[in-house]
Amino acid sequence: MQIKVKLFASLRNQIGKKELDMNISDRDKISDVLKVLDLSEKENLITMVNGIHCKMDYVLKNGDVLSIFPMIAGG
Amino acid sequence: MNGWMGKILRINLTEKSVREESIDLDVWKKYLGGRGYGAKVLYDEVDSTVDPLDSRNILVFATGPLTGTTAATSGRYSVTTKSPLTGTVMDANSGGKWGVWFKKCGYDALVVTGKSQSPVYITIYDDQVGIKNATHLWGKDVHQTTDMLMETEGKGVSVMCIGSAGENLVLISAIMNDKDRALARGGIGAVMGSKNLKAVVVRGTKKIEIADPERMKFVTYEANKLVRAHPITSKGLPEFGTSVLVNIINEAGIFPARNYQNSQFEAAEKISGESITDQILTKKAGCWGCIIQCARKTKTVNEEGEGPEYESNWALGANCGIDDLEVITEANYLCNKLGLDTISTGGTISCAMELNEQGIINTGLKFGDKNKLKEIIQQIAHREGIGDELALGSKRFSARYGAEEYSMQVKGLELPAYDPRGAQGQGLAYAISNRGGCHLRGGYVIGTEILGSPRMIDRFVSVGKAGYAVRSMDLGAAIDSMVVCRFSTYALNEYVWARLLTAVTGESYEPEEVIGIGERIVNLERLYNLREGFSRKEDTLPKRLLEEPVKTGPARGRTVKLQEMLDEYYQFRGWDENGVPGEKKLNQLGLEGNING
Repeated sequence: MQIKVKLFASLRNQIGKKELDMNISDRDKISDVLKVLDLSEKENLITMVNGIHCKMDYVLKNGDVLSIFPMIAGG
Repeated sequence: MNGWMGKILRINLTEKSVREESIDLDVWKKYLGGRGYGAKVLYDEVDSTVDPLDSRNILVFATGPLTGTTAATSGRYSVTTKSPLTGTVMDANSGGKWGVWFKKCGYDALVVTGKSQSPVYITIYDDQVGIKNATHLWGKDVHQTTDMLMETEGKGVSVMCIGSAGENLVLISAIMNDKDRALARGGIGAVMGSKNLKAVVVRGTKKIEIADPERMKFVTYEANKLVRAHPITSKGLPEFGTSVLVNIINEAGIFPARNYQNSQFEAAEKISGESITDQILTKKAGCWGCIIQCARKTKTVNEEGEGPEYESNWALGANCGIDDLEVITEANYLCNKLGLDTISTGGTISCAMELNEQGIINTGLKFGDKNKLKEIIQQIAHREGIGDELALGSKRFSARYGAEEYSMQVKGLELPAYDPRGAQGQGLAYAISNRGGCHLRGGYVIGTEILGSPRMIDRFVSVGKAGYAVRSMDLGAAIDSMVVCRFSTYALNEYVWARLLTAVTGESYEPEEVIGIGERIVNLERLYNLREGFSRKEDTLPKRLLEEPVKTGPARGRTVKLQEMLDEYYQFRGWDENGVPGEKKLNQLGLEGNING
């Protein structure tokens, strides 16, 4: 099954892409995708699926858009 | 005296008199300085009979005990006045270097009263104070005024001034310092304009005494390490500036577009912090002594300048349906030169765009019409054509056409860039802010609801949000009174601030006392607003946010559940159901002598 991964801020330079389509297996979690991207769960990344905050153990579904942000702020 | 300089400067522009006063240390210990001191003076000296543009209104420019010290982000000062836009207490604070230069003149605060017959500017060089003719500066923009004053007064000065907007009593005008730093909100530029005060020029050489330099050195070292290590203050803000928020807020479905008609902007990426860094950034910059460096020096095809910051970028961009980063950037430059609050300017223009779209009045302004943006900003500052009406802000403008529901404001102050229908706590925060629709006075609940700082909470839930708002409000009020930057709070907390305050002043501050000072300030501001006639019914939100569910995106179907949060908030504060602080609370805060309601 396929998902879209969107990357933001410093993660774009780190991964070298703004977004990518990924083939994942059934029952793959957000943490599994992070491993493939070589991103550490320990970095306090903010992860959203289809715009909703989701934790690392969230099981992804076909067609999901996973957005990954480093810790950021502004305002 | 340590931390504080020990003196206040009072200038009456009607009498052209200058007076020095020693500070009442008990008051400064209780309120610290900055916003807290401003609230105290405004409460004591400006009652409900004073029109904000009357000569009896005052401007309190105040620094705090940490201003100009080695404490992180301490290049700040604040101003407090009664707002001509909202009628509430209004404080605003700014960085750059003016606050530090002023404090080094030997003063903690400058209180300006009265009204000059003709335009003047004030010079303060240590204890040499002058009131000089500013006729030749009237009509000049902020950059021209600053350059002219640096030419005549000497390059080592710092200039705070108004542009055409403040001169023309535009109710959404700002006061600017060091060219591009803004005391932005609530039409405070018009208060300065109403006094015929064009500028305040400062240069100070005095030393800020530190009670315990050794301890200060140690705590500064520790605090700076934390700021340099935290991902937000060491990486996110310096690398991408405040506009780094555009994408995350848009992805979360709470990035308002077209006067809050939409909660996502299809072209967010084009105006994001990432795009600013890629396309127009020439240099990172920062306020005096700051190690974060979140400001942006930028360049378009035609011009160079500063910004846009997140809020300005949104207000002049997405909120007006405009996706051209160069146009937004130049509009932001123009607002800085004319001395306009970018949030209220964008919020008022977007309101005029919607009124046009709804067929209520032909304003000639359409969403996405980037070619007219700079022209309409000029018209607002100079009060020409439709700009004369927009100069009143969106609430008064829309009310003229019986269409106030299209004005996205609270208490008359245009809302910032987070749609609270998808972040309930932020909705409460907008409603309860003492200066009206603002993300920094009613609590920056977005921090915890969206950004996970200090921890992530469920943004769609309304129950239990009051506590988060209160904590953010109270710490924020203390921060605004020290005076340091809100961004430092991502890395530092009240434990660090208490130790810094203790080292600087020699007074013993405990962490909970720091929060308590913030609580005192918020309560005094509330008492001020109550005395001005505000009550629960003004602690509300635009109808759209309460009744119109979000149409698409992650927050689809949601409105703000305000009333239940408001009840919880008043209870949490120890206020009655109308939002009036109870006697017990006032006693606890040492505010017992003040009128209740």
